[in-house]
Amino acid sequence: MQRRQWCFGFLVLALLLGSSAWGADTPKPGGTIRLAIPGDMTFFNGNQGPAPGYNTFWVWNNIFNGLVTASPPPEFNVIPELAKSWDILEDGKIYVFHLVEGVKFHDGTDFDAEAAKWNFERILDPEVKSWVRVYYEDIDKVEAVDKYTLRITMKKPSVLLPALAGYFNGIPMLSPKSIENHGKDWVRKPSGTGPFKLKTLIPGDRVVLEKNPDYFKKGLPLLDVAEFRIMKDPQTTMTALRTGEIDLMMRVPVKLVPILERSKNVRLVTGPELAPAVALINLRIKPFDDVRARRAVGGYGLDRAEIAKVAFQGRTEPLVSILPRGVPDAINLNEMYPYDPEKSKQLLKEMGYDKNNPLSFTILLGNHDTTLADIAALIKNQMAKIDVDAKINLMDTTAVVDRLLVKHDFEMLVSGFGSLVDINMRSVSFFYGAQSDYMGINDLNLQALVYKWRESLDQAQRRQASADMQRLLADQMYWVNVSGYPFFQAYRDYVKDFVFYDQTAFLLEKVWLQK
Amino acid sequence: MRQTLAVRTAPGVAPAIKTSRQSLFVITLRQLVRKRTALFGLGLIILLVLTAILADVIAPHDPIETFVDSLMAPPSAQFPLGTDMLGRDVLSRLIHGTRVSLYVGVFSLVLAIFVGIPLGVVSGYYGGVIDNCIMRVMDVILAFPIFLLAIVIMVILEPNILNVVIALGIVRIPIYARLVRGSVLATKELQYIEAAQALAVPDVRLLFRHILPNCMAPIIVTSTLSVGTSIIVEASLSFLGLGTQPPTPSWGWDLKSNLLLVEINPWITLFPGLAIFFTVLAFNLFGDGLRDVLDPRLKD
Repeated sequence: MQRRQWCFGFLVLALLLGSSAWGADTPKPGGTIRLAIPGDMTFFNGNQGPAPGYNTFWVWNNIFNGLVTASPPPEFNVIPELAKSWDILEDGKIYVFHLVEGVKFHDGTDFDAEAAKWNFERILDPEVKSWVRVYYEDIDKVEAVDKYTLRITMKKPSVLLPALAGYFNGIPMLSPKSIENHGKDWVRKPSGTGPFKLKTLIPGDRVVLEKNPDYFKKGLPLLDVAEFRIMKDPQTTMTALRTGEIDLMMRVPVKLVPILERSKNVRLVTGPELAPAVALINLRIKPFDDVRARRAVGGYGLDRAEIAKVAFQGRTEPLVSILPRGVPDAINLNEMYPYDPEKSKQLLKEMGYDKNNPLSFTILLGNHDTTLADIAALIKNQMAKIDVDAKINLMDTTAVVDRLLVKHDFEMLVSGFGSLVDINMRSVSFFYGAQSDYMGINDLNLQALVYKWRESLDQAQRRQASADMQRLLADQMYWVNVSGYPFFQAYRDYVKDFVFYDQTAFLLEKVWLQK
Repeated sequence: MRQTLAVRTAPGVAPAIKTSRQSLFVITLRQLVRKRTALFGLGLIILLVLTAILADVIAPHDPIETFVDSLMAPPSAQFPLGTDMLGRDVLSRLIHGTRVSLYVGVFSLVLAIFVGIPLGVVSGYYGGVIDNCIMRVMDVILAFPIFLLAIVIMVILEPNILNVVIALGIVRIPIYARLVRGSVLATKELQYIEAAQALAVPDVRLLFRHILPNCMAPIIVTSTLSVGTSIIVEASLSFLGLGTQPPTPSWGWDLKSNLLLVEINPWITLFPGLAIFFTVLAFNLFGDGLRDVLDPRLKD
């Protein structure tokens, strides 16, 4: 009898342990997640206006939805969001989206085909000055066929879905009524269909999002509140994470990685890089209009391996191709430009530069990231080895952005750059005189390849066009990449089901807290 | 100083400038050697100046040379204070950084003195509208915190050492202008000045030969104290990326760029921090000692 009781006791214990183990992985609703964001948030314009910067973008990812979205890297497959399915007709001339029914915006109004049409037309309206409009210029017209069917006709057969899914949240769906009601203040009172609603916005301090109880994905989100705290000092942020004052650090500088790697109860996540560290050369300025100068300085004269090893502690790899290794279409072109100072000197000599008459230029960089200064210092030393005199001009980052984006006033710019999902996302810089034409690339062959990519519905054909573009860009040294720029995020181990999207998105809808 | 001079000159008689200057120097020196803290400060300053002058000779390595195989190396025989993240010798960067700090500290002072003193002298001596105009401009500059104003100027100018000197010089001009104005207001009432005016001594000669030398004590004290402040502001500007341009060695920049590594490689940030600390301490101790010697109120 006693033995039987023992057996029964063990059985109960086993069941309890089993259930608790099962319970440990079962998503638990509720709770507040505290996130440290490294800069202020500006305007929640859903791409209907100027670029907001990553910090704002990551917050609004949780307020707005697009028609489609992308699966996590490295696949970046197009998956349904507000459109439950779609048809591609006439080889990509017509796209028909079938929308999810019964979805409501945060302000209570219906999301339907008319609302979607309105959002597309806002992005296409030149008056709105949308910074992503360039990706959608092939759209001819947008029609609401019925309440839940949207039909988009292209000017010619073109690829549309990658941009809608993965380029900076595509075309986020905003409530037309909300914009009408709030007038000029609409950018600070966003109303989307997303898992969270904006509750509080205190510039310079924090943004608080609260759960959208009417979210169209049943059972989501799991969290009640997401509190984004603006914490600009990485050291303070790291300490706050380690002590449990915050739950997630949205950007971890590379220099802090060795510390967080050995921190208890903290998980550090990263992936193959989607963003590069660049040393862009301005083709508008002599002698960089000559490919020999670009190959000498940005090709054979750069010891990329040294920069990857020293400035990034070996956490990335040298990069010649315009696409970092984590981008699905990236090809390795490092063999095109091995570090060869003698070849650089030879090219420069052909142009009349030598030790007595050195080529000299200035490296421009912003003061927000000390890793950039490390890269610039290494480049300066490497340039000295090929008898090139490089000066460093470290400036306030806002001034640097102005000189790059607006005035194109630089010789070489050292910077980190945005994450990419494919080459078309960067192709906005390949058209001379366009809004994002930073370096002054003017090559009709390159433009033809961009059009070929955009018109190829077949993925294999797109990959081929992408590879051709990468080779052409490297051959002509139009775009000088140095290495990948690794991106890290860190969170407490009780944060569950967080999916790492690099910089391309930040989604909290499935995240829950095991505490 | 006025009290010291008053003892040695008959009331209402113009002091013999040359004699009083020598006396002041000798008296100051004699009293200063009795103050150990001031002597310690002076010793450190002399050491820093020698380090700056002989940097090329005494630094074991080129301060911008990278030793890729010795990244963040701990102190060793080859690198006595270790290497930084780029494999640069920390000691060599400290030694060369002395140049930047002293250059900025001293030349910004020179700029502030050369502009601030004439403004203060003119303002104090002539008074009236001139005084009002000059002082109101000075008030406007003084209304801004020094560091904030320096940041604004550096954002307008391009960041480099020369512009740091200009920025720090500009923000200190009002300090000297006000200081000198106060001294001039007191000195111009003395009888020997009235006597000189009665003898029709030209204003310029009167101002710079008879009045200004008698205002030197507070200027000397303030100058030594402000060198330390300038070094801190330079370090802070470089820390913000608005000062000395990398890879030029600067204590402030080295502190900033390696701050994130302090937990795993503390020596990289410890030594630039200590360099700033001891330099500022040296100038402050010396300045305090000078003030004790030269300020008659403290003698009582």
